[in-house]
Amino acid sequence: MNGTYISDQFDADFIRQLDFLAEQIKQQYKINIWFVEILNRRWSYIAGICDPDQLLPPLRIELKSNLGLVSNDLPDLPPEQQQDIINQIVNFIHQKL
Amino acid sequence: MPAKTKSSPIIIEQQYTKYMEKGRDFINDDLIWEQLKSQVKPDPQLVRDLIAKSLDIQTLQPEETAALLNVEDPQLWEEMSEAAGKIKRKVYDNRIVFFAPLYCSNYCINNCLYCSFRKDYQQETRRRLSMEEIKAEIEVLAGKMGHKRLISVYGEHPKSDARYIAKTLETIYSMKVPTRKGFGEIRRVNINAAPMSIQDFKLLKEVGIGTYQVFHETYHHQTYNQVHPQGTIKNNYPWRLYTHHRALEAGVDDVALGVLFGLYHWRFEVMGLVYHALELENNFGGIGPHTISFPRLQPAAGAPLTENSQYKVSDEDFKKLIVVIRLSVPYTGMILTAREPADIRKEVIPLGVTQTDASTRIGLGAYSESYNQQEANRQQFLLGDTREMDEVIRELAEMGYITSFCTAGYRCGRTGDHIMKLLKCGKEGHFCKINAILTYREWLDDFASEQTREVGEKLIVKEIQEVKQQMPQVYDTMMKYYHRISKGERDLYF
Repeated sequence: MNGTYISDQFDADFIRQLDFLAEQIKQQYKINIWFVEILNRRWSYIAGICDPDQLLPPLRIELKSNLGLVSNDLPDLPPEQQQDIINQIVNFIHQKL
Repeated sequence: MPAKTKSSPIIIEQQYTKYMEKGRDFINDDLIWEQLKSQVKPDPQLVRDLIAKSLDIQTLQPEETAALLNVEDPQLWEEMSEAAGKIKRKVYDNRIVFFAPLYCSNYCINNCLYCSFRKDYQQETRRRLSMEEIKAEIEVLAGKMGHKRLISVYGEHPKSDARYIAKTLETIYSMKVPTRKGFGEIRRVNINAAPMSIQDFKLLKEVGIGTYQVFHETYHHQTYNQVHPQGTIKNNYPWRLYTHHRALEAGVDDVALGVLFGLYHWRFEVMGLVYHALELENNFGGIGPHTISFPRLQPAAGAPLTENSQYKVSDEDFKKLIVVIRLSVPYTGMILTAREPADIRKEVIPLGVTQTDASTRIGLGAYSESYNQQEANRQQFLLGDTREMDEVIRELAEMGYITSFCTAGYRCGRTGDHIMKLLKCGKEGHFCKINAILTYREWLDDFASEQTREVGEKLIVKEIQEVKQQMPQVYDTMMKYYHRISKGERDLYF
């Protein structure tokens, strides 16, 4: 895992798979995404790639009531590619949870 | 076996003994004194090497901190102080984050000799705010003053257990208050509450706690036992010492340390803080304290120790301890509060302070009930600085510091070890600068007096210019956000 976050809601295997998914998306689309556990206002990092050199506003997408996606550079892609990525992630989440 | 004292929370020994080695905690009083004594009059070159290490944002080892604590040469102190300011700017830029304390309950089962909330002090007016009363406080804090970040404070008592704390958080987060040009809300609630079990921390995590803060008060075992009388839950040293471990274990990955300076030798206490920071870093993948607080003992009704302590810290030593903490744990946030008088606050802010408070009221219900005089019998202690936020923000602007109401990091995954990495590599400072500008714009438009606005506008122009020069790649995007905020949009951040 990229981080050390401890979650009751998501097990280590699921978090590893999120890491893998973020890596795949990075390779395919050259963008960084990371996943967060949503806890009211708090969005705690659980997996993925958060590049400190990307000084851009974060795009936040609520995938489920307790799971979110954040990316700084997803909006730079053409809309259809953005949609492809989101669909890919949503399908993955749907299968796993 | 869990130990339960009368009408008190449960202490679960297994939740801290597992971290201890042969039944001993990580604060070895004798070793600390040995280290302090072995580093008397350190070689100037060693001191300069340590300054360089701090400037490289590396945590110092205890014996290195001991060397700094023993510096006598005024010239070296000058160099250390200058480095402290540089470190702060490197990690956090020139912003100072503002927060407000919100006292929710002052019922307490403990009997700490330095605190007005102690159970034996009968004159204290006891109160626990209802959810309606908390809403009234937020109306003022977020709607009239412009705060975005709170530290909610609770005495240790079944009346203010984790369920009550969780309910207060949900209430605070639910509020949205109209302002001059936009709306006000509390975006991050940090908590100062007594040690609790992993299960209770999980409850707080679920409702979106910001940082969990608890001070160890004094790391010196004997003094700890003296000032926290036997038979009280707080008398259990390791239960308190390992509370941050339990918080982190529960997934609350932003935790804050502090000491009440004046209970024991200040040099020893600084060593304790460094040991504590290293202990957390070593056990939790590099996650150290999100912030360190360094309050000095202040007069408190019903607590004679606050007047009589032989360890009271002078102003000169206070400055030194701030500098050494800054150098020793260079990535951490450092909180200076309104306990200190205005002139001292002005002097020590350049030494590495990252957060402070203003318009502070520490009586229960004091914001909405609009009393400005301090009332010893409904406060934990007496404040040194009761100035309004507008005045303090203006003073900071005149000193070249931009006030920030940023709460961005924890709302987009810059939490735990991720925020730590960003702080240690100096990248977080870029976010700090941009988010300071955006939230300062909000505050100037919604809350500033004409006089403060005048000073603030000059400062914000300078800050924007610096972004243009230092981070040209982000300038256009930032300005788009800036103009949207000027038109009344709120809560846009990087």
